[in-house]
Amino acid sequence: MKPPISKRPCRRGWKSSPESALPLPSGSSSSSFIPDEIIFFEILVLLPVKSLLRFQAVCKSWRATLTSTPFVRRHLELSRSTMVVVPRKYQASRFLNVFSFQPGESKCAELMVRKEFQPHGIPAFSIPLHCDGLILIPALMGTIFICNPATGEFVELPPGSPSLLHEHRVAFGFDPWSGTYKVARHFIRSYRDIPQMDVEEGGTTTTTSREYSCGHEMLTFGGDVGKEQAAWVWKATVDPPYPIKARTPICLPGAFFWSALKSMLLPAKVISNVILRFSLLDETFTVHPNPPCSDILGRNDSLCALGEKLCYIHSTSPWDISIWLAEDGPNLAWSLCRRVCLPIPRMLLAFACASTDRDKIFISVDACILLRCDLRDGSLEEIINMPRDMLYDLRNGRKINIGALFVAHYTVPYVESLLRIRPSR
Amino acid sequence: MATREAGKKMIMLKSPDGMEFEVEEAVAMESQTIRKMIEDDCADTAILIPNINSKILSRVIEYCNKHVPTTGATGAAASDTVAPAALAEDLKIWDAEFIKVNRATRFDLIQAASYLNIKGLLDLTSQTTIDTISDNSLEEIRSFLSTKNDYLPEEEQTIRRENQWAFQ
Repeated sequence: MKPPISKRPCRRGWKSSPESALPLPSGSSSSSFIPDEIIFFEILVLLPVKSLLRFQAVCKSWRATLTSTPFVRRHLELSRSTMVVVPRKYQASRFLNVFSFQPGESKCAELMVRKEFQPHGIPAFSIPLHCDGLILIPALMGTIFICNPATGEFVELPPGSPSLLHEHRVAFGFDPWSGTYKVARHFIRSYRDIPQMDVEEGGTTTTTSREYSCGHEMLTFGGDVGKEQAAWVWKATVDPPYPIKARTPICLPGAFFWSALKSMLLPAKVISNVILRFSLLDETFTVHPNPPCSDILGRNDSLCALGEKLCYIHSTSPWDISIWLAEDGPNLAWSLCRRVCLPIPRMLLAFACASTDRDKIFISVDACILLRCDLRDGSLEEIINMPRDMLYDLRNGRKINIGALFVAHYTVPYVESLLRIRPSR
Repeated sequence: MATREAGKKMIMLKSPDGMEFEVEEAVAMESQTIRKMIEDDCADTAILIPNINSKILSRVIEYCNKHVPTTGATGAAASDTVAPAALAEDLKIWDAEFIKVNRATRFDLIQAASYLNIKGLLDLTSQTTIDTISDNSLEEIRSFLSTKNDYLPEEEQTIRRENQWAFQ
């Protein structure tokens, strides 16, 4: 089929050869004039956030476009993937610092955001989460902070439902169905212990099983939701079918993945774990098995995301890890991706994240040593030993090595973005 | 300039100021807009390019001539003997020379690249512009892109304060 292309008569006495004409572009035809569409979406969209914040003061229409959702999304698509490092002390510390870091290019991390917490400092937190340029800091005791290190915006979320848990985790991701950002948390309302009589050879033993009443709630922002102040609240979802473990969950497009306790006998005898998939589309949970290597997400195992796949890192000894991957879908079909021998023993956890090269991933060992692993042959390259070599540039003329003072140097994938957490006035 | 060879389809591009440019079809098809027209069988042997004057059109064709892939072409270039990396490096140097033009010409090239949908040329021209404006003052930006400041002084102050660190 032919689209309608206008045929134009020759204007300047050209030979009457058969001739077609391209359609005229929309907008003005004067020379040396670039349509706004090109200025904004081809040129300015390539600028770093800092320049774009400044250029909001050029004129009103620039501000309107530079803060519009299509522009912010396009800018995000073109942003280069890098990393941030968020160091964490053992206990509460006065400052929270977020540093930018180019793995493999430099051994220096540059301060992006520094936030002071008075009077008690920022409470201890677990692995920060990233989505579209926003960094979520989950404090173990329940407070949640989200910041955009590129714009400097820093927000504390309202408190959620009270929990009997002393430690809890948070899920964070983009919901492609509604075009909004979602934060989910789990909590425990109550529990009771039920004694059970087990008949075994040679007699009966008494064990106790613990029954939990647990909840799950979600806070939505961004898109059109954030414009109503009433939306800035936690809303309960259905209860999870099993109590969620205090382990960092994973967000893949359209779903959160939590590790949960399928059954448990006391004293502290874990029988098995499952993976709960919470769909952001219909807000329901489905239950999936752990990979075949282990029924239990042990304290040396972790859930990660690699590309758009769920990843399970199983570590049976301090020197080795197995990387299992599952395609998202109605069933999580687990397959062993690679076994890796670590050059240094892990004490607690190895954590993986994707790199810009799809054959290579980053592995952070105990949030101290950052390695790059080639998944094709399992070879490892040390990117940086952070307690020993990382120089933190505080941008006040001082570059410091913070060494063993800090228990964790969390490395988090990051892209620079203009996204606002709260709508601008 | 590429010499005309038997078996190569040629296309005539016409600018609104009456100039005609005969180019190989493969060169013209560096423009996705023209490619679509040819593939949809909407193009005759001559295509009028409205809105792009002959001076700019000749530069665009020069760019496409340089960037058209030579693989599979019969004797089109001596690139068979040159390593791809060296070729890419050579193209980079050529691009850097090509883009040394005044602002008005660069804007015309951006407009032409966008309209004709030539990604490489659009990237080259946009990136060059970005490199020149990212550190400019607001006054320079306004005059550079002929934009008028319509803020009241106190409004502009408020916006500057909001993102004060970006001005340091």
